[in-house]
Amino acid sequence: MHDLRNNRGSRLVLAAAIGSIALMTAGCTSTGSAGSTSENEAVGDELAPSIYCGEECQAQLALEADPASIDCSVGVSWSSASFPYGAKSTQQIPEFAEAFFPGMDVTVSDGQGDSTVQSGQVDDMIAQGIDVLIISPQDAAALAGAVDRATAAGIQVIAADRAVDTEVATYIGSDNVDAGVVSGEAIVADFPDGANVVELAGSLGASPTIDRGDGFRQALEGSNVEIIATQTANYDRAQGLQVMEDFLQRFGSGEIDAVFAHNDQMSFGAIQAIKEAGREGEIKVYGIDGESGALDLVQAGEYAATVGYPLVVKESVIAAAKLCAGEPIDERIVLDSTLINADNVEEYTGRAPQ
Amino acid sequence: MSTSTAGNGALNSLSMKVRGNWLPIVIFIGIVVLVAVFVPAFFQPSNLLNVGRQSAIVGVIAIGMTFVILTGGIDLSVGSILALSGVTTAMLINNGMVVPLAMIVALLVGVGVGILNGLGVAVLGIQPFIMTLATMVAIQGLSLRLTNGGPQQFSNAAEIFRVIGSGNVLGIPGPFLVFVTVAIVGILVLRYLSFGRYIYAIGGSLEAARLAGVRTKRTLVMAYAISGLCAGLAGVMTASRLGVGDPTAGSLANLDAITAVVIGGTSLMGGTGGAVGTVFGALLLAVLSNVMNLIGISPFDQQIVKGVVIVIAVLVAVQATRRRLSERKPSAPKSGAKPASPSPVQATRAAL
Repeated sequence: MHDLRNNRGSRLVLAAAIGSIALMTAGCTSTGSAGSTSENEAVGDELAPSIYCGEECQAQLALEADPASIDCSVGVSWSSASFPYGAKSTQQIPEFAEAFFPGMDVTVSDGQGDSTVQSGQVDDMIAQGIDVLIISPQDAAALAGAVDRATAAGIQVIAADRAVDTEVATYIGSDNVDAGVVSGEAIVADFPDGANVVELAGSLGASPTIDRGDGFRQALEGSNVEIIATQTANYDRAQGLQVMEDFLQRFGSGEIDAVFAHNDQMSFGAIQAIKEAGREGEIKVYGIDGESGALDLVQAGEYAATVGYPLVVKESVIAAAKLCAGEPIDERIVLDSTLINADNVEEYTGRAPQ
Repeated sequence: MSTSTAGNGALNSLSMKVRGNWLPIVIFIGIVVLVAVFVPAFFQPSNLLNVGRQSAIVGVIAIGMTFVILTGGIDLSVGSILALSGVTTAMLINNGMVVPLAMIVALLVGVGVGILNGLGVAVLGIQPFIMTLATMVAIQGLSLRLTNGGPQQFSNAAEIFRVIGSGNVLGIPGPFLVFVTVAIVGILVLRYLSFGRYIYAIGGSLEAARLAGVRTKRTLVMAYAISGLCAGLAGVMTASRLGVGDPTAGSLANLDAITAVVIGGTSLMGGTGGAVGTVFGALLLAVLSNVMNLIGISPFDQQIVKGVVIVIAVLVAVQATRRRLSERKPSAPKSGAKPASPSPVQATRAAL
């Protein structure tokens, strides 16, 4: 520590070391290594978009070319693989491609939650000479430059799950505002006489947090459902548990009718806190994402509803194949925000959105 | 003459130590009194138990962190160790290992990473910040790889395991009891074992401690191993509490633990402070976030308040340390009458 304080040279060493660690961990993984361990049922046994791709989306993604004829190189640049959505996407995209497009060569990189790192990885892929880039940017503005460079190099770009602030061939994702709206509408429908809701928000300032919160509030307008408290739990299960414990202390029995959590993980924490307080009969929990664990809880009657925020794995790969084959593609392809509750959960079991 | 100086010195050091250790407690009690006036809901017994439970995870990590920080080091990898330990526990239980054994393996994993940190710092001479940053990144990657990025659910856990995370013993939350136990052991080790004195000596001056015959490398490795053990324990507790091993759990636990240690009056420069202060530092953090949730402070403002309170608490602690050090100076010539103090170990002890 003394050295750290006093010696400028060691600061340089520190910077260099951090840099080299970043480089070491920035490595690209390619198709072969990723496939070994993940659940292959996620890939499915037919070449089709997921069930969350509605009629319009299906039509937009109809592939005319023979899958076997697709011969091109696809780069996948994801903001980060260190959160479940990113981890599943970066694993399943190469798996799905390998299963249905033998001639498609997929390279995946993990931006580690850092726009600069991700931007550099895109440049590497441009240098490798990929034909199609599937990118889920860490930041819409910060990656715009890299995407422009790719486009200038003749690469077709697909923005997956998150938009990017420049022109791309297509954007594929589902809408966070919609997800909030659907969740809010579910609460309004379940409590026609009004309800007191506490909100477990995601990480402050993150765009899904803002959008899901906005959508939820839009849906509540004109109803008697009221948000009596909002607190962040950073999309984290343990923090969801802790914040809910505090809410249960602050609001006595009968004062909370429902919880709205911005993701399933925080809902899991809230459900546990409610159970431990012995108040499961009086509080219903609503969330977003549709993880398979969430569907189990919906089925068990412990979780009122979740809203599917589906992976865009199959859709992105099919779109990449269309672009490889030179087929035209719409510039915006939106997946459905599906309400999953006790009434319909059985339809989705085994085909969870995430 | 020499005996009386020694006696004075001992007395002096004792009173200083007591004052040093009391300060975080005074701050803590002050805040709790404020809370008592303005937020009566805080003192509901159920809420007090709640806060005790919430302080436990960060508290356990912070006790281990105290050992490392006292040597003048830092351990950034504790959050990653927490995640790896939780993931290990969950995967082993899912693969049919008996629960107590799975827990022991998870703790050993924590110790193993800690030893790795310690070897990097003590033997290879890598700066603690860098060494533990490297393990932080690598270990998180390992947890993600093991789990494919998704939480590992498990349900078939034994009763003892459940108690550690979410059960109660005689009405007191299990996690809080674990925290108290770890804290007591930590306090006793730092105070009464020669190993504890070596920790302070290394923090005071690594070179002096080495010359005085302290086996500095071994002591450093043990300090990091203890930090790893505590983080591993916190991982088992988290897994038990949540019923999953989450590879992304504890991502900010290192900062929370360091904050608890520093609020508790331990200097990041090493050599001064102790585990008693850390206990109250951890409690203070838990009380703060609980109270802000109870009175409904907006999430944006919560961060501002937390930052301000941390700065104030640390400022008070730093002032107190400075005062103690400057009070020591006048007495220095007296003890300096004996040309070389018998051992730097005792010298640093006196400085406490």
